[in-house]
Amino acid sequence: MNDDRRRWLDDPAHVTLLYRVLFAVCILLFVADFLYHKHSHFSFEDWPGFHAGYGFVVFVFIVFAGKWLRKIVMRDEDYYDR
Amino acid sequence: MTGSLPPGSLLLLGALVVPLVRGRLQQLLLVALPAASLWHLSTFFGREPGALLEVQAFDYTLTLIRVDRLSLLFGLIFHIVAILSVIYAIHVKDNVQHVAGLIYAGSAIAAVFAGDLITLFVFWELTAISSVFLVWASRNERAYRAGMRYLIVQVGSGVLLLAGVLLHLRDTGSIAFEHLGLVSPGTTLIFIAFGVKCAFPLLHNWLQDAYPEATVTGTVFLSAFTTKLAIYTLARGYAGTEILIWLGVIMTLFPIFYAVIENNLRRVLAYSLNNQLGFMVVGIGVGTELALNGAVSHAFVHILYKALLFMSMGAVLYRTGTCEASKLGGLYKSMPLTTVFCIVGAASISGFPLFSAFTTKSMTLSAVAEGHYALGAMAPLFTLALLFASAGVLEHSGIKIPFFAFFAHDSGIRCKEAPWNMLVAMGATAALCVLLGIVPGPLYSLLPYAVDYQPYTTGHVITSLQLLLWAALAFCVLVRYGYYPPEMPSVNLDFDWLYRRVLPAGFRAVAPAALRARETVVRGALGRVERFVAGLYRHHGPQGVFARSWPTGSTVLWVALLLAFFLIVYYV
Repeated sequence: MNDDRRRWLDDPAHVTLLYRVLFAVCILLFVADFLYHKHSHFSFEDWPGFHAGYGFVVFVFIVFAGKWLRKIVMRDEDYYDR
Repeated sequence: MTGSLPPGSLLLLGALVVPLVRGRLQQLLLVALPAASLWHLSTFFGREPGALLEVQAFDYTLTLIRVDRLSLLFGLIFHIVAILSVIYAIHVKDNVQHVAGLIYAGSAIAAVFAGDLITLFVFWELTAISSVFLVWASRNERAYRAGMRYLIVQVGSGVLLLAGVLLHLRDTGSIAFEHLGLVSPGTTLIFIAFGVKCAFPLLHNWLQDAYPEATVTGTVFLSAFTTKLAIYTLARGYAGTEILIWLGVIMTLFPIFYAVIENNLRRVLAYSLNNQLGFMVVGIGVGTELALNGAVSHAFVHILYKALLFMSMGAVLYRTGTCEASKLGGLYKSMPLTTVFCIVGAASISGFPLFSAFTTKSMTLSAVAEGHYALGAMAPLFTLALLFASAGVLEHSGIKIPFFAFFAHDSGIRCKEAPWNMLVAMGATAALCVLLGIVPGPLYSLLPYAVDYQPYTTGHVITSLQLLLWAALAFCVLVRYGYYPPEMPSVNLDFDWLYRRVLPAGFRAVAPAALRARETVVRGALGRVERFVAGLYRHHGPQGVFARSWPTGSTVLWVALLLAFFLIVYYV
């Protein structure tokens, strides 16, 4: 197992394939929202694709907020050792 | 006989024997002790709930064993994780770690069965004192300092607890550990003491500070006991305390952002641990039967998948010597089994269907939503916040941990797979994570209240998958188009900056001035004393007016003069 032989994942085309599969699954999940009856507690949960959109937007927000947070709190690795 | 020993005491007593033996015999003993202790615990299942062992100490009745569904559930999971952690650590040749680990696990278990606050305090402190050795066992300067800070905070929590217990005792005359609620200064102090160990916002930094500095195997022990003991005490003493909902929501949210930018993957897991505790604290704050079941069952499965994640990162640290995301990548080629186990832990913590958090965390979410009459207008906001936090969990623990360690760009590191005992421990833990995800029934049957909850509904499965997979899609898009921030070796300032930098710097800034002021005052006072002594000396010293030696001649003269004066008066 421990060598430099090329693996399936080393080929960028395969990574792109995985990316497309994930995208397709996501679209299917969005479509699935129309196929069952919802028992929700809040009205916003009834919007089609609410959880999908919320997950996507929140994730992007968290990553960009993290980048912004870095500007404030990031220091050199030996900050506390100096 | 076994009924007269508190659960966990076999670990406490056995730990003293461990250093006396070595080699295979020691390894056998290390596994046998928690296994025997688990058997001992099993004798308590099915017994009538209540105090089973009481001893009289001075004026107080100490309840060493109090058995009910809540204590048995925590006792059980603490035993399971103790066995798994011991197997994971069995290759270690360091008596300090073995003894500390067993005493730590034993005292946490004993604390869970303590029926009064004084017994709880004793074991509360014992967990603090024993666990710090797992940090110090790294035997370097950073670990020593982090351990010191950890010990100060943990013992401080114990001092707060004791002060609260004394106030509570004065108010009520009782030391029983039952529901307390925020009703008096005493119970408030106890609440804060629990909050320190539970890593409440602003009281949290000891966790992210110390856990990543502990040894490879020590962190696995640490991740299980201290914070979940705090969850247990909060569930028993403060269920339904509304401020816990707010504290919990903050705990689920703020560590997410730190976890995104943290480079040390074990520290990412420490932030993630903090975020997971938030979900449990919210459940305890809501306080309904469903919410408490949710909080407690989440603690149960969380102990397993968090231990699994720390084990996998520990294995990486053990084999490569680093846990920094910026130096890792591509390890799936060298450590395929560890990779699989890590992904199981990541899927469990994220709450994917068929994995453990799916069947438990959702109970808390449902309880918040169903409590929307009691919670009023805040219920939808709390729900949105917890969904936000769930996407955050996926970011830092579900994707970041496995992706940057095992995939991402190939770091070129080629190492051996983890040692067999680590693989056995990880494999068993991963199996439990999947089992509890697919068959949650046995866990549900052990919860404090009867469970009427069905996790596998069409709506729940689809909405969970939507949230998680669309968030994962966001990750892929951000990485592909170069928006995802690169991992960087760095330190990120958190609240501990205040006591690691500002306080010492403030002290250094104030200290010289304070020293000068002190010197001025002392010199002034000394000068006054010196002048006083000099005055005394002038008047009373050898040369002073009152101490002058008078010549004998002048005395004779004065006597003659007095006699002459007397003669004159006499003759007149």
